[in-house]
Amino acid sequence: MRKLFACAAALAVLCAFMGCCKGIKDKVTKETKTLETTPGGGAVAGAIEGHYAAAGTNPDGSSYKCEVEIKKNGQAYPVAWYFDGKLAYEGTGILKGNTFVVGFINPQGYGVVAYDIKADGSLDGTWTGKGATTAGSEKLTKK
Amino acid sequence: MRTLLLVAALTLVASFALAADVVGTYTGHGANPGGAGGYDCDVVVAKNGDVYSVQWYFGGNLGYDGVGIMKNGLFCVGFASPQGYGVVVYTANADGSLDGVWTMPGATDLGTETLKRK
Repeated sequence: MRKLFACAAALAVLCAFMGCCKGIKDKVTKETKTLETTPGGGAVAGAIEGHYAAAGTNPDGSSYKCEVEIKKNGQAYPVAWYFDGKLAYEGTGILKGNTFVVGFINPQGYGVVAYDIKADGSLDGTWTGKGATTAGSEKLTKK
Repeated sequence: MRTLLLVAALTLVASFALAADVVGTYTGHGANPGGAGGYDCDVVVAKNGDVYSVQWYFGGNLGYDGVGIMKNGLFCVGFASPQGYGVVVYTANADGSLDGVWTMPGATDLGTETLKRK
């Protein structure tokens, strides 16, 4: 308890010495840093852009492989899925905490995929498309 | 450790509660990305097997059709209309309302949308 008082007193003196503005600035910087580091495993928001190799299962249970590119455009994330080198689906995504959520479309239909951002930089996704009554999965591994 | 387990259990219960609760009809109020005006709509959320269907009505007319899943306690919906497509992510509030952020291709920032149960 005595230590705590000593700390508080030292802080008060320091605060008076440095001025309040510095303290506020420090707090803002600290909060920004906290936001950048997700609570799960240290995956950093903003680092999801890149090229990925993807392996997935369709809602009907069949499997597929493709390549995925994630870019950043302000607060939104454009996403593209390539099958055999050809663009097959386009998407736009939002980063929400440790979850990356993307709406996607192609001439045949549209859907949604939500990825868990893992500490090793891989993305663990669950997805569905219009008309499906079950969800598929998709795992992205950074190239 | 006991507290941690309790928190984990409560989180699990909360996510199940959210999964069961999003079905219903809502009054929606939103703001477009980039401060490009606000809008009002009616939203219907239904469950279809393991996934959700979502419809947005503007002035009584169907404007957007969506498909949704639950992930990490978030209600994640992809939507489309003849004019385009996009994504919206909602978090649930204790009163059953949903707070969403959304975007469409070309937008560089996010719109918002709050759904209140009818």
